[in-house]
Amino acid sequence: MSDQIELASPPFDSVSSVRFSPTNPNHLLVSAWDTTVRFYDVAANEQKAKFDHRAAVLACCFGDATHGYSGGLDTSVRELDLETEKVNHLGQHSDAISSMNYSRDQNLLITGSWDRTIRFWDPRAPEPSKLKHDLPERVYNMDLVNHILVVAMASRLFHIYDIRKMDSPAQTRESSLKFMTRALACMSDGQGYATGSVEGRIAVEYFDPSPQAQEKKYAFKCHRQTIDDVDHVWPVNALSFHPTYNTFASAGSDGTVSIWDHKSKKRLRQYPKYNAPVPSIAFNCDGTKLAVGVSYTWEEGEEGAKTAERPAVYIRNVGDEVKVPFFTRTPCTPLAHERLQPKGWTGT
Amino acid sequence: MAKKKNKQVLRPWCWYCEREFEDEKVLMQHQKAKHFKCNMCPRRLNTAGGLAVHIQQVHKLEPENLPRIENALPGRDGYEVEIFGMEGIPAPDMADYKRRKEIELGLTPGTITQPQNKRPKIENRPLSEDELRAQLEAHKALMGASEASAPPALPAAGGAVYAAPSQTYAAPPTAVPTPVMSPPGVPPMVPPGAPPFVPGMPPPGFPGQPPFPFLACRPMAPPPGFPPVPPPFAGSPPPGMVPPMAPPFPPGARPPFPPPPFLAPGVPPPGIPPPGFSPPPGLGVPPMPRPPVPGASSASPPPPVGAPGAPATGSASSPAATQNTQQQASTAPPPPLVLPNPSLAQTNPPFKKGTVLKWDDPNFAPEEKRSRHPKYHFSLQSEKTDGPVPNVPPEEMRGKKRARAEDFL
Repeated sequence: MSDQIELASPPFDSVSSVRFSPTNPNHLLVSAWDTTVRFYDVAANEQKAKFDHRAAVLACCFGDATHGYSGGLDTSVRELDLETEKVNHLGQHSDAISSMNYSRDQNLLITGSWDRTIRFWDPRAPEPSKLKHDLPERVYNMDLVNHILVVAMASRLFHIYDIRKMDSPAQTRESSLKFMTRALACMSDGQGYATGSVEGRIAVEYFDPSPQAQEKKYAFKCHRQTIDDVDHVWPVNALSFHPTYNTFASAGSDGTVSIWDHKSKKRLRQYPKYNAPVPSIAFNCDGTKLAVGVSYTWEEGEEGAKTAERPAVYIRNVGDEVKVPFFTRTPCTPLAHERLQPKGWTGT
Repeated sequence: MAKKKNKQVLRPWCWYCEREFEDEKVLMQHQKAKHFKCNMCPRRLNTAGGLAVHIQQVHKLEPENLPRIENALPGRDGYEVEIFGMEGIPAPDMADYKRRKEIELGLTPGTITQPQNKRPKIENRPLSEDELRAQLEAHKALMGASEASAPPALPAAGGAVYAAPSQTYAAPPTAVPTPVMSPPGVPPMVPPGAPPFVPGMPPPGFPGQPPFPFLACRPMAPPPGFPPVPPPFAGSPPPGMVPPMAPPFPPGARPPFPPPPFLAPGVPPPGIPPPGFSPPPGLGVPPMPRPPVPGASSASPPPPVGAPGAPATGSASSPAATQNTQQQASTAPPPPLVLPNPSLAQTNPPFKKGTVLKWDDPNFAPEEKRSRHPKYHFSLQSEKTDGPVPNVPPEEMRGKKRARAEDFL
């Protein structure tokens, strides 16, 4: 079997988000600019359900095994029943919904929007809308690990919340990257998060506010290429942490997907380049597959859309390349930030 | 001839491995050699069923121990489907293959699915009147409902709107029956009182574009194509062009051509009927350049062409914008992006060495820019009037093109 398959009925327009089910390693939701959310069984390579919306869909996520959620330019928060294809309208933002996450512990849906709010929804309640939190800027990305919610906003702002006490952000930070935040993912072990910017760079940061922990944060360049002594720099569109090995994948508008080990600060693998930008990636719940959405990401506006490749969704079977390598030799020269080396780093 | 074309577009292909072949004979040879070959003896069979029977009977293998079909794509290596050349391919696979092929070849969806020989022959000859009419009807039908509602708002004298908003051009003037369709050469016989020329139609004998294709393209032709036509006539019409009986214009008045776009602001646009002017009988409204404002009286002075008037007018007069006329016909252009909190505005720091940043807007993400493109823009106002209805058919908010494309799938 080859190392990746292409889904048979991809969206007609750019992919905005790919999300795997938290329980079934083969169930995938794909939201797209063609105003649809599609539900796939990737093992069977089969589209099981399709949900049409009134405008482009920017975000989707799973709730439980049979429910998904979606939001986009039409500002409406929808609950999608993946078995009956029924749609339940939960409520509304006042501008486009850019990201969403579901907390399985609290049975809460969290949506972030360009209207500078995040809202909490309890999909089971008769009146699902629960809470609204005003933010200083438009929400671009959100990610959730355990009860820690990281919200990445325009103007390079970050808020970190504990979703159990939402009255004020636990931390407010400015991005350590100097350019617009484009991607965000929390580590699987809940220790920190990685963010990517439009200027081909990824920062690894830690939640622990102590100076020792903060000293470990660092950033590195990626998704760029030097052609004729000119740096071509693509945005980092998506990040996803592996659920068991805690390594992470990054995807860029250069059409590449790379696997990184943030502990050893090494690239473990770069997959062969795709023929179009990669707007979204996701590992599945057991870490055996990586979904890769491939489609135009509007860097060149309408002109680019005319010559863009057709959208595609690839499911890549991941192997040992996502595992943390076992080092037997001393590592190469430590990087500037790497004064405190992680335990187990210098093997016997 | 049409059949040949068909084969060029969709050649025979093998269901097992999705390879394409010159013709079905080669395809069958391929299937015999690659997929229906017994791996226990040199025998080649014609079908999967044949191979199964051969293996069971000759090599005495139980049916459940049959080897999978060789060299087949995953999921297509079974014996359940009886394939012979192009026959027996399951319909969903066929449709899926066609769709992928269309995308690969850059064809519009449905071109392969539809019988190829229905495509009209493309020849370089002037189209006959009936053909033109048929094309016009087909085009109008294709453009759908949003334009269908437009014509009543147009002035009665159909073609007489210059510098009109885009939808005016999308809805061609059918209200004027004969003159529009009359071939060149007719105008000298036009009865007195009727306008000497149908506006928008090149004057008879005007060298250059052949009159008919020009007229045929009119619904789609960019409006800026029109202004260049009048100048030769703006001054003095060539003798013999206008029949002596016909001119319904007082001396000195211009014939009903669009005003030159470089009119000085002080000069009254020629759209205003000069004193003493009487509209020709037969047509209620003189075929004058008029602002396309519905309900505006014919006496109201039209805005200077090219001046930033109504937004629609502005978009129609810029050549670049004409591409989007169909999308803009129904909705106003999306509002520009505004920073909600200007004090937080960002600027990208400079680079030390030569750098091409693929997204260099520090304040708006690609998605935000994209959301303001007419193709994607979603107006919250329309949402508010409708109320949040969760299960509205999505097609109503979507481009007609997209809806049509989906019909084929």
